[in-house]
Amino acid sequence: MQSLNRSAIKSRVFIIASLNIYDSRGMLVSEEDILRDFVGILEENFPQAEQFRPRDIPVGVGKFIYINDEDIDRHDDLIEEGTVELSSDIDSIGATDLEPNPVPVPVSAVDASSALIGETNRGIISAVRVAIWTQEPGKQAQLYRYGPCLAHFTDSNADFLFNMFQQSIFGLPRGRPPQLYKMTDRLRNFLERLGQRVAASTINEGIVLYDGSLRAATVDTPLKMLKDTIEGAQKRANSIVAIAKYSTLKTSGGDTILDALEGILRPCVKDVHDLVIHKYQMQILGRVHVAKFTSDGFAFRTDVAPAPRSDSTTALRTLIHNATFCNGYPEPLRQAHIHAYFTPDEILTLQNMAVKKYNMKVLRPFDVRRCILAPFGG
Amino acid sequence: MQMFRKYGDEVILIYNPRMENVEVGENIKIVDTEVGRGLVVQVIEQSLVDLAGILEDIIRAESIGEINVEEYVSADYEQFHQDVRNMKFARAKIRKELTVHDRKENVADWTGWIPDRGATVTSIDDDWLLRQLGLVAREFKHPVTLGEITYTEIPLTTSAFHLQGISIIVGKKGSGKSHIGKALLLSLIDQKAKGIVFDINDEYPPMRCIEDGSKSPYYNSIVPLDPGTNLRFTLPYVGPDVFIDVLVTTLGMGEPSAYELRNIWAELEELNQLSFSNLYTAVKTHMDGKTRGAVIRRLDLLKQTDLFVDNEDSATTIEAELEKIANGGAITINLKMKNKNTMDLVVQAVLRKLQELLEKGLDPLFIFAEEAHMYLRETNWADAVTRMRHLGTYQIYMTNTPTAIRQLVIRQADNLFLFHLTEPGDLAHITPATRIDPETLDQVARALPPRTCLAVGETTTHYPFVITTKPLPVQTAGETRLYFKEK
Repeated sequence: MQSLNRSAIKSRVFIIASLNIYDSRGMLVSEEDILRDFVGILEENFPQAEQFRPRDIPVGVGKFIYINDEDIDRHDDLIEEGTVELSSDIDSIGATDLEPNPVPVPVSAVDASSALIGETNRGIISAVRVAIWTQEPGKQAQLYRYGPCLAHFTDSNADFLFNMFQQSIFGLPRGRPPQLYKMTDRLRNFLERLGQRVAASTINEGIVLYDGSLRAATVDTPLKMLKDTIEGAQKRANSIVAIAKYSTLKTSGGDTILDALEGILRPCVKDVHDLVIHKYQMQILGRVHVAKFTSDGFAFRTDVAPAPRSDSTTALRTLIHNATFCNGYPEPLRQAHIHAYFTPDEILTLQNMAVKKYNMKVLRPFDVRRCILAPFGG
Repeated sequence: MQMFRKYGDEVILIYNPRMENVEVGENIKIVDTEVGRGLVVQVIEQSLVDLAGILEDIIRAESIGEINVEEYVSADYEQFHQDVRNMKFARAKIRKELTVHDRKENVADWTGWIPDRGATVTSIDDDWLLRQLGLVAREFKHPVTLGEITYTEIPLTTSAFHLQGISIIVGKKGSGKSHIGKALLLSLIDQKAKGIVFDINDEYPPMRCIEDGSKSPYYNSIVPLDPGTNLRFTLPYVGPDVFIDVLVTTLGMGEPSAYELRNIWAELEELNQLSFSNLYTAVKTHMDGKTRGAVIRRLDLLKQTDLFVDNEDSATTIEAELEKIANGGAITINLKMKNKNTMDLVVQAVLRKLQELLEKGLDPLFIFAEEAHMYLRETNWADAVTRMRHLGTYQIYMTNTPTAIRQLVIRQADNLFLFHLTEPGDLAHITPATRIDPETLDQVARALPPRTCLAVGETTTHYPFVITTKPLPVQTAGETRLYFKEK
């Protein structure tokens, strides 16, 4: 059975305006305190709405259905960020074998999921969950789950919420919040970045695994935000390995860089960083690789920001020694994924909770695609 | 609770077990107040709702094994999540249709109509249902309380009138079937009816006393007979048909020997000298050597049963015993630890004699037969549902081996009291005993706790009720010899 630390399940009642991100000495409290305290805060500061239309939940008993709206929500952003073509032929770079580096180190991994719960007459209700998986040599692994954080984004609070993260927590200049429907993913990104900082703070001289890339200066991740996160990790002599399942980096022939290791049946890596066009290179806070961690696994875009006095290949070899892999994907990151994603029953739970707590009238779930296209692609 | 779906004659009701409790056997009303119609349904199964995502959730939780988990969620979330995960559905059979006119509700057979999903779903007050079905104690001249409706603890009373047929009590050992048999017997005695009990475990005579050992009100109404002790027959009383039939059927005597024996019997009868000793002597002296040995061996076996006496004063007659319970009561015939010959002789003699007496105008009576397959013959089963029944013997069969009851009897059954059973073969065998669907028997029988049964038939106007047997004001425990006295 799941060993659940029930005493840790608690609701902290704050009001956002008085969220204590500074302690009594005026120092910023730890990211973990912020992340932990954040659970429940948004619920306690839920703008009242009269009507709620729950999101249509996918059905399919017996099928595995996970919900993470990140890919949907980020779709527009990815188009905006565009596909990046490498400056020269990837085949000119040789693959370096990855032999395990037999040094036991701690590994932590972070992932976050977001889901739209439904729409109100004032905005949208969303949920975000962050999962951090930590394992240290000779010790039992530890899972931390923060959330689901239930948030109601309206035109009247979007600016406040966005800048609370942007300014107060990440120390960035004040910005303009995105459109309401994108706030879910922004909240996920803010909390995931906090999670990444927490994950790095729990280990020393280890490896922190991120889901995605180390690209900054994007729509949702200002350069400083990621830079501070990476520097924080490196201060503890941690290497950061960001693993992306998909990549917008293409070869001149139009193939994804993930094809670069096709046919090689051994753990290996290609450092393609220098092939990335300069403008794009500047946005990446590490080195870009294509890596295969197991002989029979998939290849992944792997960005590495090594610890001081280390290098990318050593970091990857150390990772191979300290983690197990599932189809070539590191198990710690897989576990973080598994425990961050939402399942349909959880979405239903959050919908019930929102309706009951905030006394909203429920409208029937509605999917315009189903109404106009079903059964053809609806 | 809300109606979700209808399949055939079943509806699926969804409910939150934290808010509402539903039990198998419970009666529920689904009323569409707008149109003044509704349904009376009965829960036959409950289960967890298979929501999309539950499997993932469980696997996610179980797959991480013994690692430490620290989870920061709002306190409310955990409760809401448990509610969603634990949502249940009740599968219920449509039993009746309800009509409401001027606030007056009437139930009738279902016409196939169903309410919409907005209908109000409420648990039924069983008093209301009993009134609707006409099962009201004060309206019966001969009330018999079967037990309490399990989930409302309201007594279920019927009329002894409805027990005048064939009733079957089935269930696993220790499930309570003997208890309800005893309850029915006492209720019938209260109504001045007479009964004969083939008591395979010698567990009815203790009802003559109460728990402290003193006499119960039924002390004189229950007459225990023990074959070979105070149940002994003369040969003229038993008659040649039963006597020789037992020798042939049970003891395997050949037809030629039977023919010769019948002749000797006739001669002794003619000389007015028929007795067991005289028969024995005549066989020894008159029969030829080959046949004699075969008959003598069998007569020796009968002698050992102590069932036969020559002196009429020491003999028992059913007529005399029935006289003792003229104002209602029961004759219990102890078959416990009796050998096959004894059981066969006693049962055949009693049944044959009863048939004779009923043909001569004896008042109808009830026969209680526990594990009847151990002593009834094929012809008895056939007689039971034809001649005997029409002559006025009403039968109550109790068994933990339902497949041993002949289909002939099952199909003629008027009442069924079904205790816990799990074997699909057993359930399929007894299904024709009721007018209800096999799914109800199948689902309910598996879910019945001890001392609880599904009662259905004439006694319940064919509406199935889950009832708990009532405690009796007498000693009821059957005694089993144990080697290990403690657990």
